[in-house]
Amino acid sequence: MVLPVDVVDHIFSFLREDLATLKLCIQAHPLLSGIAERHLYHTTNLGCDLDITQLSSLLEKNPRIRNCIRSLGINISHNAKSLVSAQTPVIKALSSILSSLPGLNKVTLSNLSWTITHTTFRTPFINILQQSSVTEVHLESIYAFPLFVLNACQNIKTLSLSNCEDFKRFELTPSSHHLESLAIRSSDSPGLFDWAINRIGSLTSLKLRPENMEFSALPKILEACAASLTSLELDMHDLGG
Amino acid sequence: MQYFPSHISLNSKYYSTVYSQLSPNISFEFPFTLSPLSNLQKLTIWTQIDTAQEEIFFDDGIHYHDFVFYSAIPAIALLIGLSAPSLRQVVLKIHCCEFSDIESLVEFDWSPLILLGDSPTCPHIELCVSVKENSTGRRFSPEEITNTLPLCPGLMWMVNLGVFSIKAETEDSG
Repeated sequence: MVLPVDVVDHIFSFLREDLATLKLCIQAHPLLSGIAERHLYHTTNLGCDLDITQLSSLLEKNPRIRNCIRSLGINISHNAKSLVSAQTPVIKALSSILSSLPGLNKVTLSNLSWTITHTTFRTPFINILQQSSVTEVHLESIYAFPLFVLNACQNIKTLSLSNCEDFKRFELTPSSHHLESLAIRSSDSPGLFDWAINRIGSLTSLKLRPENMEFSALPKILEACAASLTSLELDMHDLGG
Repeated sequence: MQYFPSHISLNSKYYSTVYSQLSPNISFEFPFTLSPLSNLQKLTIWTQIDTAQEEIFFDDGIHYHDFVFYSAIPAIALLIGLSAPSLRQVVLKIHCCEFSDIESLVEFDWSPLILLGDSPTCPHIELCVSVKENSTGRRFSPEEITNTLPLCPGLMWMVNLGVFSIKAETEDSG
């Protein structure tokens, strides 16, 4: 009995965190190879699971893999200096990777000070946020990210900000950009909630882990999405101490 | 040092009380209500119950060392009670910090939630409870928690009515 391709595809989707098994499946049979490959690269975490320059080389040799990457995580805290200069192999490789990921849906950037990064990284990163397929963005422990760049990202419906500080140049004017899901976790930055209020008129899901100073701002946040909100998560661990 | 509070409750083992405070010096109330959220269906709250040992003085000069519980549970119960009727599901992730033993779960005054559960309009409330022991820092196992919570008759009454469900956890935060 031969299982339909879509059934095998669904089964393999449960193996996305089991990279070793997916690699074995790729070697097992040509028919399985293409399906397993889709899931092997579906969630690609650069700096954790995969070396950036290795992935860049792989994508040059096998451009079809670019279509497989749906979720991209970038965490290069151990090698942050590599993003300072345009000439480092890492920044060149990262720029090349970001330049063409047509199926990308989700981007996660972690542990980085935006101010130290070179435009060779910034420009393709901002460009990919504006790509129509990207609907979900997660920023974790990012310093001084320019939130105003999201004004041009009408496609982004899910945004999470975790342990981020000092967002740059708030754009407080009304925006046509409306989020469906917003998570703010321990991100202490003056004006952040004011920025958010302009973008949550259609919000259905809100997750907050406020610190003491931000707690008083919650009434305004809730008022802004009162008509649309269906799910509220409130984490009070950072309150009171 | 603290003088005997008026709302203290007496039970067989300890004098215990629940303060609507996050810690001894910080009183707590939500600066908003959920009633304007007319389409809210699901509410999830992560919170914690802290304990502190305090010296309590009575007027007759007798004093006791006692464990007192600090939590936002009364404020949370009020928040849920004043929510819009659309709210059907509440998940309370409760982390019990620095408990001297697992029996402290029984000593804690759950009455604000039980009173809430008594209301016919109360949404279903899922209590997810984790407990950490203060002397060793170890987390009590789900089995220890599920074996102890049935000793809280009010909670179990609500579970039997289907208003509450209880889940023991080992993690304190999502």
